[in-house]
Parts: sequence; C-alpha cells; structure tokens
Amino acid sequence: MKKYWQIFTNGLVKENPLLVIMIGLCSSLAVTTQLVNGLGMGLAMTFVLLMSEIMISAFRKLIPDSIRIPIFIIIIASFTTIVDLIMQAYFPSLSESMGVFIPLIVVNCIIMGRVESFASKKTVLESACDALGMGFGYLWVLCSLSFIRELLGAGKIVGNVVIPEEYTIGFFSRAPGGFFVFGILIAISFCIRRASEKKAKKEGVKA
Amino acid sequence: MKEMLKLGIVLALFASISCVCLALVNGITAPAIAANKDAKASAGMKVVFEDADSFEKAKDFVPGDNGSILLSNLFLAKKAGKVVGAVVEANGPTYDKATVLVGVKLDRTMTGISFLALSDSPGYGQNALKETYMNQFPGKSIDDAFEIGKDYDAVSGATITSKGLANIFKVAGFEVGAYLAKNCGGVAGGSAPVVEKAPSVFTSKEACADIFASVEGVSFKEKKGNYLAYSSSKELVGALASASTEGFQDTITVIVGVDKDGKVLGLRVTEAADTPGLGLRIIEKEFYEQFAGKEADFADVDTISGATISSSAAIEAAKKAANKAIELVSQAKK
Repeated sequence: MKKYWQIFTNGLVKENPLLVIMIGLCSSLAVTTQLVNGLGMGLAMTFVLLMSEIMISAFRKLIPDSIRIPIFIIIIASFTTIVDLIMQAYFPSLSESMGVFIPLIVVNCIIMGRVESFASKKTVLESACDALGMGFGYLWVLCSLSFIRELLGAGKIVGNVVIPEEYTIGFFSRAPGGFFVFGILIAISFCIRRASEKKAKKEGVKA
Repeated sequence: MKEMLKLGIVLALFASISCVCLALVNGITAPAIAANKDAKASAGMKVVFEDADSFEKAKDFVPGDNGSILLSNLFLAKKAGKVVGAVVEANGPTYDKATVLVGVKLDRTMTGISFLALSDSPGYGQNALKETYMNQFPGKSIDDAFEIGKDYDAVSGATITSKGLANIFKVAGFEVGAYLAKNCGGVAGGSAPVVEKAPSVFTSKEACADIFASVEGVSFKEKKGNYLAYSSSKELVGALASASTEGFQDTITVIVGVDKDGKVLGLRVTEAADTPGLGLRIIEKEFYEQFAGKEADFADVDTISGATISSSAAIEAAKKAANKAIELVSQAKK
C-alpha cells in the first residue's frame, strides 16, 4: 500500500510534470487565463492520462516493442477524442474557450512520457496511481497558475469581479505573464524542496 | 515477412477497437452536440424574436426576385412546437451594404431586427446601429409604407443608410409575411414592395430611348457617335449628342436630346463616378429631369447643394452636347 502512495505523491510534488520535469508547458500556459479553464484542462488531461496508462499497462505484453509508439498514439488519441466529444456535448462553453488545446492533448508530452517510461513497464495498479499522481500534479499547478493569472490579469475569481478593471495588470493574462507566474511558482517549489531537504539532512545528522 | 504481417495485424486490431469505442461515444454525444449548436444559433435569433423558444430552418423557402436585396436562411420561430413567426437573413445595399436578421410574427408585425454586418461609415451610417434607430421597427406592421419621416425617422447625417435599411426591412418583411401566409397560416396581405432601383448611369441606348420615350416607334441612326431620331414614318424628329467634362473626381458624360426645332427634350447621364450621396446625385432623376424644356444654355438649372462642382460640370457638358445636337439636327434638315 505504501508503494502505491509513494508513486502517487511522486507526481504531485517530487516529480511534478510541470514544476520539476517541466514538460507539457505549451498548452498549460495557453489555457490558464481563467481558473475554470485550468480546472477543465487539468481534469481532461487527468482522464486521458489515467485511461491511457491503464489501457497500455493492461495490454503491455500484447504490444510489440517495435510498433509501441503508434499504438500508444492510437490509444491516447481515442481517449482524447472521447474527452473532446463529451466536453462538446455537456460543457459547450468550456469546450469553446479551450478550443484547439483539447485535441492537442494527443501530443502532450506528459502523457507520451508517462506512458513510455512508466505504464509500458509497470502493473495496472501502479500505472493508475502514477497517472492520478501526475494528473493531479498537473491539475493543481494549472489551477494555481490560472487562479493567479485570472486574479491579477482580469481581476476576477471564478468569473466574479473582485478587482476593478482600472487596477488589473493585463500583462498577466498574456503569454509573457504566464511565463512570469510559472517561473515564480517553480522558484517557490524549489525553495520549499531545498528547505525540506536541509531539514531532512539535519534530522539525519541528529539521529 | 511473417513478423511484418503480425505487426500490421496488431496495429489494425488496436485501431479497429479504438474505432468502435469512438463510434459508440460519438453515437451517445452526437445528439447533445447538435442540440448545443442549435441552441447557440437560436440564441442569436432570440434577439430578434424573443417569444420563440426554438428555431427551425425552413428548407422550402424560395425568395422572389428583389433586385439587389438578397434573402437567405428563413428560420421558423416556434413556441411550444407551434410556429409563431419567422426570422430571415437579408442582405442589401445601404450606403455600402448591410446584413440583418428580421423577425416577423404571424400577424405581420415585426418583432425585432439585429445586424450581422454593416459596413457603412463610422459616425454616420454606423449610427443606424444605435437603439434610437433600431427600436423604431419592432411592433411595426410589415405592410407599412416605410416612408422616411412618416413611418420612421432617419438617422441624421445618414439618410442613404436609413433608406437602404428600411428598404431591406420592408422586402424581408414582405417575403417572410408571404411565406408565413402560404405555409403556416399567417395573415395574408400587403403587396410586393417596389424595390426602388438605385439610380445608375444610363447606357447610350437607354438614354436615347428614354429621352424620346414620347415618340412612338422611334428609331435611331448613329452618326459619328451621335444619333438622329426618326419617327415610325421615317420622319426626322430630333437628334442626340453626347459630351464630356471633368467632374469632381472623374469624367462626366451626358447625352442631350433636342427635337427638330432645336428645343431641348432632355438629358441623361451616361458616365459619372463622383462621391456617392453628393456629386453622384447628378444621376438622380430629380437633377437630370430639370434639363427638359430648358434653353440650351441651361442658365436656370439648379445645382445640387453640396455638389456644385459636379453639377456645374454636368451643366457644362450639357451645353456642349446640346449645341452639337442642335447643329446635327439643323444639318440633317437641310
């Protein structure tokens, strides 16, 4: 049980796909102008990641090594299309505001990377834990990124105006602002990591 | 070879399973997606037809010939499944051009108007987008004459736009009314609107025929770009000559017709490209009809206010043409 928990938390913090591995940045910077978008993108991504990892890990012995990449892509693309269709059908406004970035989940390197480096080698349960960890790791970073950008750039929290328009900083809703906030988030996460490592060392010395 | 075949089959297998899954999901979501699209389209139409709760495209709508005004996409407005009216998309000339949605109820009143596009001048024609102009139309009967100043007020400084739009509304209203009366039990009535043709320059032939319209069976004989007019009994009745001058922006060419005594019968403009609404108004009937019956120096022809240069140029050309025509007719008489 502890093993699964470790795999799960691994993606949340230690190997966070965005803050530490730094892959899949393009779409995450593009959609994070509103918290709702960040949340939607994160959930869509988590769903595709989870299903793809489960499928690929379940069939990993049936997938010939030489054609594994096309098969991965077929599986990922199928789940992405499913998400796209479901969003269009039941969350039309969300689907509209995310536009092309939902279909582009197919080529998101987080999914490709996890499927290739993890799911194709591990058991179904481990893969599911990894997918959830990575997915939620992606989700929380996306949410905080979009929360900050929406608040400072548009002066809104979940669409409700809290800062009058005269005092908002439009820079934050543009791409450079996205990089800026993202950089600061990376810096903070490294700070926390360093601090915890130091603490662990000290405790180790004491013991 | 065997290995390749195996790989191919495995790949095909994965692809076909995915296909089946996607087909299933598509089957479930397709109706919802279609409903969303419809809802989005009707949200736009609700602006012009608040009462209705759904809209359905009428497939058998064939608009009549309305000259420059084009109608397309008639949508039946429904409330609780019953047709209560229709919305039509109409496109026509204003100062430049406009595309509008017009909603009409079964009882032949307009429910609303909304612009899909209007490319007139900002500050003038674009003022038609303001509520003061737009709000005049909802509730109006489509059988009104749509007369400026009487049935509706024009946008100040944008008379051409206002007239053009009112014309589009009128034609759209009539067509929708006719469709509803024929297919959906709407109140019948009203006669086809006469679409005022935008004034345009005449061709030489049209000009000749128009000036000598009072002579029955008139025929023309060309003589070096000018014409002699003969009655049906081959008797000389007059002559026509054309002349050009430089207008405000471009060449203005007119044709002047005189009778066999050298009296001016009329003038038509065959070439002009000055500013629409100003210099180009010389092609309007009001201006060119003044010339009929005048002395050949046209001293008492009124110029168009705001278009003195164009008007004077036209008068100048008229003098030249009239003198040519008088000379021509006196030569022919000899």
